[in-house]
Amino acid sequence: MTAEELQSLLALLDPDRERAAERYETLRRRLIRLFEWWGCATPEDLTDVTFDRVAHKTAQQGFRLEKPDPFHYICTFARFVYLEDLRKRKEVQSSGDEPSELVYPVPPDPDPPDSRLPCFLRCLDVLSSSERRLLFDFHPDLERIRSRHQLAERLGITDNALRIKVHRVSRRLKECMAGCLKKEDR
Amino acid sequence: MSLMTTDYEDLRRYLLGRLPEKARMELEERFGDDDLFELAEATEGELLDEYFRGELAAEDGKNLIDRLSASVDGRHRIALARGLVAVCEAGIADTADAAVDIADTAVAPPEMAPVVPFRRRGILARPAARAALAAALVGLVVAVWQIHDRTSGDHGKPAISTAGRLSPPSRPEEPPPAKLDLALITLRGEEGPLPKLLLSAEKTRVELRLKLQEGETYPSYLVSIKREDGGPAISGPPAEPHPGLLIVRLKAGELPGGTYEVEVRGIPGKGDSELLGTTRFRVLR
Repeated sequence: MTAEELQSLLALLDPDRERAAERYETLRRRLIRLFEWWGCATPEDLTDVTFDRVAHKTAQQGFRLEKPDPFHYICTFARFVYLEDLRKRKEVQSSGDEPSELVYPVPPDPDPPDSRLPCFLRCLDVLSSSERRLLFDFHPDLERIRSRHQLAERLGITDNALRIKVHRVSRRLKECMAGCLKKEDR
Repeated sequence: MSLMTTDYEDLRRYLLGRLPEKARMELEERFGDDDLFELAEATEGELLDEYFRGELAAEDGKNLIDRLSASVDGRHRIALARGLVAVCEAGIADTADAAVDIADTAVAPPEMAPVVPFRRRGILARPAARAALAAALVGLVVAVWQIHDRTSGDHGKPAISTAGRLSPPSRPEEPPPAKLDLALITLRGEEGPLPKLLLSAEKTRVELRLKLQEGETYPSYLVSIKREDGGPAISGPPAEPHPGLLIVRLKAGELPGGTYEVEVRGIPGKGDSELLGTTRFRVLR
């Protein structure tokens, strides 16, 4: 990506350079996740290819975005990149260089429950008491759907807003756990 | 918030690879929206949680895991979700069971205890196991924070101050049961796709979760399960009634591969049993 192409890409995301840089990071993370959901093995590389192409296109004279949301446009490029990657993988498979079926084994559980539990408990400390309650209320054993709806009603928010709220709390818990388990490994 | 009421269901179908292409593309193009994208991440987390609790249909689980496990980050998220479920099941589930048992024992002496024919038994029925769980209960986090929260309110102060004091609970060696949610069919022609239960060799227990119609509160229920090909029937396995739900626990060995028919009858205090519905499922091994 040339400097000029980068400028054009950032201008596409936001007129303010600082905000455009932030937006770039956000969209990059989303594209990576999108490639993961599509089952790609190298989402970060494919995301970089996508942005390279979008930047190249936006630097061309007379470029104009048809819809106001740039993600819509970027997503179209991402799809092409994905299809190319898929075709390449199929070619590799049919050439006999790789097994006919791509199998990605889930790695064995790296953290036995004994080392995870202290981390889990420590990380619960990071959350406020109301956040902990929210997490445990969201994960009852029985009557899950109904009780979640009741919980959302009690909090005066929609079911989806509740899911997002819980997701934010569990994301913090997961980040904390990942850090804690890393420390335990040392 | 720019979410639509159907977004959550669409995201579930999207992540399970079940959304038609046009709808899939439309949804993806909206991922620039912060709320929708966060909901998508939250939904992925929920699906992984359901997968490791054995609540997701085998084919759905395979679709999700196959795609996520292709990338390094996806594999990390899978491992972490599995870890969290394992921790929750080791700690929280045992704590809840033990707490219920201890409370029951304390308030109702055996001879005066109300007859609850389908109450959950198993390992907790053994006094020694109950004592062990009670001991484990002392150090367990959930109980601690719940009690703390109830008594002191939210002052932003951590409920568990020293993780080192807490010892891991004793955990049964058995893996968690394979769970399958089943809806009862009450009308001819209502049946949808046949639910499938994938039983790996490591699974020793199965939990069938039969959804009851609202307002069905029989004192007890009779469940019979038989193989479609005429194999031996499992008649009257213990069935625990919960609000809106009947849980049947079986040994995995009782269910060889094949298609099964389930019949559920409500047993009123007086009179004959009443047919509440039937359902079918397939066991894959």
